[in-house]
Amino acid sequence: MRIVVFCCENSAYQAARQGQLPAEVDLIRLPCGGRVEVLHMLRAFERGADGVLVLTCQEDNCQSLHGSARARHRVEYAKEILQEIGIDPERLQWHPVTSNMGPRFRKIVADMIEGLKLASA
Amino acid sequence: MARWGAFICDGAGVDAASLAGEEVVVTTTLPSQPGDLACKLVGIGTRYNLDGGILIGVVPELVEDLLKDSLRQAGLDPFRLVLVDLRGRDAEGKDREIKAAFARARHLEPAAWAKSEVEQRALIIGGGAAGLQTALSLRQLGLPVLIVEGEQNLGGRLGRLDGLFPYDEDPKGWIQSALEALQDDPEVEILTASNPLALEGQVGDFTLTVQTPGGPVTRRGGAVVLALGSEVRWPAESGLEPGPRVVGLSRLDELTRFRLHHKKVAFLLDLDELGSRVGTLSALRGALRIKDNWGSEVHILCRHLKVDGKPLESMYRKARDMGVVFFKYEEFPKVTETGEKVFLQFQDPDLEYVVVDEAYDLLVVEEEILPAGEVLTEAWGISQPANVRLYPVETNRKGIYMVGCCRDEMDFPGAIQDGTVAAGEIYELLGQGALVYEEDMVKVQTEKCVFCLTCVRICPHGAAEIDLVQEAAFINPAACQACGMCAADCPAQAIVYKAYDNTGIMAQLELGGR
Ligand code: SF4
Ligand code: SF4
Repeated sequence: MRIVVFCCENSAYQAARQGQLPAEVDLIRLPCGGRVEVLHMLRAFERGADGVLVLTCQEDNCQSLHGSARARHRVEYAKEILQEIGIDPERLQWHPVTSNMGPRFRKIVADMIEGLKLASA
Repeated sequence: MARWGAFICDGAGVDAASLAGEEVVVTTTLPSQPGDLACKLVGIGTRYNLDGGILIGVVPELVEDLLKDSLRQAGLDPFRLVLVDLRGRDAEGKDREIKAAFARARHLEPAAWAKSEVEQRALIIGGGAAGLQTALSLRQLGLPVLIVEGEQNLGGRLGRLDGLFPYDEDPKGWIQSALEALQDDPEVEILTASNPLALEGQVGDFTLTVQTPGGPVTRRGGAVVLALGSEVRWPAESGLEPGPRVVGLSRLDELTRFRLHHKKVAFLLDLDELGSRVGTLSALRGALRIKDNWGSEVHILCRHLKVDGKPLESMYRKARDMGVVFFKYEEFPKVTETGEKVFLQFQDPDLEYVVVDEAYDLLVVEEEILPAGEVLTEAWGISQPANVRLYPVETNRKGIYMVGCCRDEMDFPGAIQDGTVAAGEIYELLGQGALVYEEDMVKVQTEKCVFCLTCVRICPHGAAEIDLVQEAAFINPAACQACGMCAADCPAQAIVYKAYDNTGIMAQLELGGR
């Protein structure tokens, strides 16, 4: 199984380093949530990801002010595309994670793995 | 072909032999302490004439800046240092992280630092407490300043106050001493009765056009400080009308200068549900003044008394000791006025809601205090949302700061603190006389740009500009904060972000599933 996690380096990327990560996870570090493109998310699926997470700052403390909101909007759009091409949109999720939220980061990842296992069972 | 080195920190649990097959010219083990690490990186990088390095270790992202800085000082390209942090990864995870890093590294283009001279002067708009303090602190740090003030005199709202109880400071004295320090200083220019017309440029080189009594003038500076103060607004929604017996809190000092005497005075606070700390502070100060000057009977009506913080608490105690009576209300009091008296009828929850009915000679009403200058900040694309990354005085735009009451409701010490903080930040920015930034880190490929201006509209930092000659967008490298939002949204894929380019991101995805 492969989970690709696009992380803002100011928040989620730091949270990711605060505990043990499941082997399934591939982290992609970004300078800000606002850098992620719909193309990146779709390419991840194309290259074998079972689930894709976009984890960025809380919307009101994004260093680039609306970077996190842009990421959320792009995820919403990419979910529509997934629906259209017959991939469960739940395989793509956006969540805000601050840099000190190690446990939350791991919970989001674990929940996604759990959900994917259930879906394939 | 680029020459890469692989550096494995001790403690990373990675065997150098596992990197065979990757295109590296040197593989070495390094200590994990940031200082030693930086020295060794520089040494090996220079010896092997490397173009880039992959640092495999347990080094947090936080030391990355330190490492990059060391490389830069040694004349090496700091942008081709790829950090692989293996904390929390098992053997398989480590392997994938390392593979992804190599994939990304192969697509990293060389970058460079650029240095440009700056104007060291700070352009301060607003000569109230916060603006003056910014100027004073900047002068202590040796930077020149311009102060633009709309009124004839400096001092702002502070200049209209008689006292700053409980602070021992006397406001007029404070302004006077600030003026003495500034007025004969050749590095200080003060334009009064003048208003800003236009602001152009970016961090390090702004041009401000000011309307002065003698006509428009322009001044250049490396930073801009907005110290626009606040506006007082009568709470018209309350249905109250100002008159001889009903006055705003901001007029109290003026009134209490006279010997006229009101036997019984009420303060009505918290008109807009939440109320404000500064309103409470001014009311307490006013109540004490009235007690001192007139010896009147004083009642204060509020929803919640805000006595957080030392001065408020001690003033509250002092007011009680002097016989000021405090009431609470939930429902807005019924106010009726005759020529001679103002009647207030209300219920206090702490008095079991008995109806209190009192007649006063004077009713002092808390006004709304709103940040001033919103028209200006909007026109110039400057914003200061409640965001910890900008707190307290930074704005969305690099080199532009907001201080004092135009950014948040605050008292005198707050404004002073803002000025000091802003001056410190400006010194850090301009003190060396030059800005150092990543040249072309985010760049528009002019030939691909379709001039849609998406980047200009969405850049949160106002760094994407219009180049009319080239008919293309242009990114100011000093103002750009490298978030990459423009690169993601450009419909023509015309913007390259070297450190996080699409090719590098895609290469990491190419690793495929397991
Ligand atoms: S978004 Fe792209 S195409 Fe549009 S103006 Fe900016 S660089 Fe040019
Ligand atoms: S990278 Fe971010 S800060 Fe720089 S120009 Fe693009 S949107 Fe603006």
